This record gives sequence, C-alpha cells and structure tokens, in this order.
Amino acid sequence: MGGFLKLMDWKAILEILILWFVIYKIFLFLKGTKAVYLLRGIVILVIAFFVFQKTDLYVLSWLLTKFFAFFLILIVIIFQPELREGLIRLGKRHIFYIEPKQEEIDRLIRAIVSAASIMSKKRIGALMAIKREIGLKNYIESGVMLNADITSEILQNIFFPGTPLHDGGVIIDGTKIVAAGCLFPLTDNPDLERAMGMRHRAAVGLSESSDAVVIVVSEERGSISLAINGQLTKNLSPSDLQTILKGQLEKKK
Amino acid sequence: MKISKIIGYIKEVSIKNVIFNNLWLKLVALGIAIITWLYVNGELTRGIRV
Repeated sequence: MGGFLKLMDWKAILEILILWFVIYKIFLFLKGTKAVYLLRGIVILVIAFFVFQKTDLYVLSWLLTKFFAFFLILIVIIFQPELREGLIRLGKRHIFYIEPKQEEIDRLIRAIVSAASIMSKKRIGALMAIKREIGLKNYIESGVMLNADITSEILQNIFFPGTPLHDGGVIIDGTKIVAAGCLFPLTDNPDLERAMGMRHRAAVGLSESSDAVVIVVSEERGSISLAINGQLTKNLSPSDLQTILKGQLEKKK
Repeated sequence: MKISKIIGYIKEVSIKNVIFNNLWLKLVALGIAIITWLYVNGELTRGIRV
C-alpha cells in the first residue's frame, strides 16, 4: 500500500482519472448491447493474464499474450457495429447546430403529445423521431420528404391506417415534419422484451445510433413509449410524455 | 452564461445521482483503470531499468 501511495503523484492520478473516464464511457456505451457478453469474457481473460503474471506461470502468460495480439483484430471484427455507431456519434455532431427557440419547442411538444394521446386512444400505431444534434439524413432519404409545419392533425393523418405513409417513421426537425415513411434501423438489443414489435425495435435502434428522441404508439396496446440513447421507457401517460419531452428538448438550452 | 443559470444547473444535477448512477460500472472501471496503470507503469519502469 505504501509503495502504491509512493507512486502516486498528480500526474499518476490524472492518468488514472483519464483512464477511468475512458473505460467507464466504453462500458456505458456497450451496456445493453450484445457486446457486453463478449466484454465479460475479455475481463475474465485479462484477470487470468494478471494472475498468471503474478504467479510466474510463464507458459500460460505467454499464450495469453499471443492470444491478445490476435484478439485485437478479432475485436475490430466482432465489435464492428458498436464501433461504427460510436464513430457516427463522434463524427456527426454538428458544429454549427442552431438550438430551436422556446416557442418552437413548446409548439412541437404540444403537437406530439396531442397526436400521441389521440392515436393511443384510437389504437393507431405511430413512430416519431425528433432530431437533435446528430443528423438523420440517411433515414430521411429512405422516406418521403414533406417539410410540413408540425401539427397534431398532420401527424394523425400520416399514421392513419391504410394511408401510404403510415407504415414507416416520421422525422421531425425543429417545427417541421421533414419526412414520413422513413425506415429506421432495428435494434438487436437482447434485453428488449420479445413481445416488443418492429416499431419499438426501430425506435430503440434509431435512438442507439443517434441522439434522436423517438416516440412510439403501440397499435396493439395503445401504449405510448419513448426511446432515448437506446433506453425504452414504456407505458407513458400524455402528461409523462410532455414532462420528459420538455426535459429532453429544453436540456441543452 | 449568467450566474442564475449556473446555479439552476447545479440544482438540477443531483450529486447523489452523479455518484450512485451505475455505481458498479464506475467501481469496475476504476479498478480496471488502476490495474492497467500499475501494470503499464511497472512495465515502463522495468524497461527504463533494463
């Protein structure tokens, strides 16, 4: 213990703190993805490596060292989707991001909460993504461009069963419905309930690969859910939805 | 940024939440960070001695 404390100067503490922050962020990023199971395996191997080193088991330690070198390449292949999402998050931050005005946020929240509440009562399925800092151009291009001012009525009209655009998701940017009928990526999160349909999987998927706030209205149960950063909050009342949306959209002010 | 805004932000961020959210994850990350630092530091000092 004394030896450890002797090693600690401010540079060492700073280095450990930076290492801690990076490792913690990697853990947070991997939490809830398939990669977490692989990570557990890696942690066990790392612990085994240190044990072999300390107990002078040279052969096993040498084997693990060689295995790690090979494993680095394997990690890039195995973690490819997670690495891609991470780089997208890092690289797609808009430098010249203009924050929406308060009255625009209020209008947006009013329209979405009203539409979600009505569609929930009528058991009409809906999927609405609110763009924040990370661009959603890829997903906008998969749908039909609208550029319409947001109103509760337009949202209800889009998702009305049988209409051409009701099947995909809507992307909202500021107070505009930019596109409808958009295809969102499906999550492969193993922790998500099996009962969750494609709409919920798409909502979580988009929230994993961007910072968008995604609202889902279930066609079967009429429940309102919200996906943010890969986390799905289910069975929200319209007032809950309003409170969370306010918190999320006004947060960056 | 106005001082009232800063105070508002501090009030909003609960210290309890900052510490106890994902506590296990934080502890494991800290453990790994310390072990990694000690190992690399040991390797580097050994290298310098050689």
